[in-house]
Amino acid sequence: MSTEATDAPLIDVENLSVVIDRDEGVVRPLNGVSFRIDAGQAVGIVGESGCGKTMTSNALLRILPPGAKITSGHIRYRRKLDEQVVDLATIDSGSAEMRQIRGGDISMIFQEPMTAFSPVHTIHNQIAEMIQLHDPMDDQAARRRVVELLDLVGISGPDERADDYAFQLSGGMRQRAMIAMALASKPRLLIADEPTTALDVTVQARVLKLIQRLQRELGLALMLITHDLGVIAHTVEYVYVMYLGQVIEEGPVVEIFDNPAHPYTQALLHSIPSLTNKDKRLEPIEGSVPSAFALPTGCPFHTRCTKQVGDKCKRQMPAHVEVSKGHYASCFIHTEEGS
Amino acid sequence: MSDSATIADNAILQVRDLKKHFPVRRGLLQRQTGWVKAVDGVSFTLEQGKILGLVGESGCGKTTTGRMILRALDPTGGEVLFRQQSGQVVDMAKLSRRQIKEVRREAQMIFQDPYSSLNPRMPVLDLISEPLVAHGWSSRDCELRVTELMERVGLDPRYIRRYPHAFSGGQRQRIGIARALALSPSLIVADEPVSALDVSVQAQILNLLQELQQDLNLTLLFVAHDLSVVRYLCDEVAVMYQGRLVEQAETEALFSDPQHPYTAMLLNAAPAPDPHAVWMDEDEDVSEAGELTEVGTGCAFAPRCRYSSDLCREQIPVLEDYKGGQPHLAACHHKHEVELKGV
Repeated sequence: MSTEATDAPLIDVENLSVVIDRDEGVVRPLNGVSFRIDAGQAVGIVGESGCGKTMTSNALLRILPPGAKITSGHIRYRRKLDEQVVDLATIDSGSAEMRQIRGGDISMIFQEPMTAFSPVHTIHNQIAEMIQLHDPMDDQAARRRVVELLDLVGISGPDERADDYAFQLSGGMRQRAMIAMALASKPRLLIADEPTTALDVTVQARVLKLIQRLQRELGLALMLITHDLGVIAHTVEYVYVMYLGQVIEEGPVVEIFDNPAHPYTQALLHSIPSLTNKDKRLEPIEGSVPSAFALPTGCPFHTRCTKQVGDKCKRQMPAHVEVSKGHYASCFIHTEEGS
Repeated sequence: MSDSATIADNAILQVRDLKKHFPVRRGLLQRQTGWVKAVDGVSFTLEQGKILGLVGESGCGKTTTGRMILRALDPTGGEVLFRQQSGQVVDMAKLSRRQIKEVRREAQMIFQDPYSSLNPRMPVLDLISEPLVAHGWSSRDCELRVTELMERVGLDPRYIRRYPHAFSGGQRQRIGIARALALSPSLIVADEPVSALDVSVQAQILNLLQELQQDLNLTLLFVAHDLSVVRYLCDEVAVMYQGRLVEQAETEALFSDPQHPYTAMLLNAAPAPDPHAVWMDEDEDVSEAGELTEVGTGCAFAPRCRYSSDLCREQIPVLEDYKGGQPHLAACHHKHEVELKGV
């Protein structure tokens, strides 16, 4: 472990901010987000809708929506080609370099596999295209690789299934095919954005197990984005909790669940029903997530927080401080000024 | 519309052998080639003032069942015996359109998606009072009633003239609930009412439903796929698989001591929000569902079941109680022999 710790991380995001210019006003979906993922590490990003978790992954891949731009921060990424560290925040999003990294180094699986596949091409055609784009080879070799990939993700009869269209596969199979496509270019980092939210619980369990197995066997780094604390609890080592475009808490998964340090994380854990205990009374978080057009000043959570320490919660953003080993939170209850 | 129908004294709803078969059409001439039995012989009784959870994976027929109970869909067969506030018991499945309208004021629905179930061109006042207007309320009475309802569900009545877009998902779901409550129903079918909401907001709505149920002595049929939500809210749970009930019991008994292998599989597959909890125990098999087509003879779950035998493939098991004491029904040929793990 100690040798790994001294190694440079695979990706190191520092103080990333994104602004979107809309007719209705300026939206700030990301406000100084920092996180890192080591090679082969499984990291989870959890938060409710509007917290910026999807925007974060879109910023990494430089596929931001129209009108959105990165206004500050760095995305230092160690690329596969030559182990050089490049800053994805400043690179031209349309450049050959970025296109190589997007899909080649970092690939992504989405929530809805039906929309990720073209309805008029077979699964084979789409995966083979992906393979040949990043690794020139003849059609026969590409075919062999497609079948190999489909087999790897647990699709039975991969040789026949390869010639199916997306609509011919069940939801779980389609999600597996999408994972196969994401792995086609032998990426180093797999971003999974709510990969099982649209699936039934038994299918979800099997797809998550598959992602976990592949992550370990292929030594992939995984960035799992989800709102589901149950999924997070069982699939990643390290968790970032986001709220309104900021990381408000981060730590090893067991720490986050056993000793949540930020009032938001604590409240979130109190608001989900338990599978094993009926009597636990739910304590909902009052109100709803503020609009991204009118962000609160100070701590973003102060409008819904029951543990405010005073006026400064409304005025000032608390520092991100270490509360226990490798476990950080941004709240005045943990800072010098707050005590 | 009154006849000999009777149900147990404490029951408000009794569903008997409810069926919905959809024709399958194929080819150029759209000739019918078979049936999809979306719901195939569902029976259960719902006691006054209780919450029954109806759970299962997509395509199991839980939504279809809920919709048939309110006659949003016409059943292919079976009975839906409903006790009206007058005490009279009617078979909803056999009522005419006109008669349905009368009964429906006492049996309402809450929908899943608060974004698509509210007309964006109608202000809250019109949305909530629509059922009132349909039953002949004056506009003055409507406004008073809507104000009262908005307060009841935790919405600020000052927003009575706002349109749905001005509300968050949780607030929209409150509008949907107020609308369902407008005519003081005794039975509510809630179809996945919290699954489109954020976690923190979901808890608000669950607590609201619980309060309303207690204060207004409502009876709820809660259709859901999320087992932890069902455990929190429901008194009793029925598990559905490919159009049939496979298990029904009091909530605690079903979760701690499941009697059907499918229930045990669902419990094992659901990730508890606790990294120390067991998830996907290697001893338990979790396999994916096949497509719902014409199920042949035998138990529909047999192809996915690790305990299945020849008997399972030949004969459909009956949903029956076998333990004595509190009723705990399961439809499995091997329920006496297999040891299943709960949570």
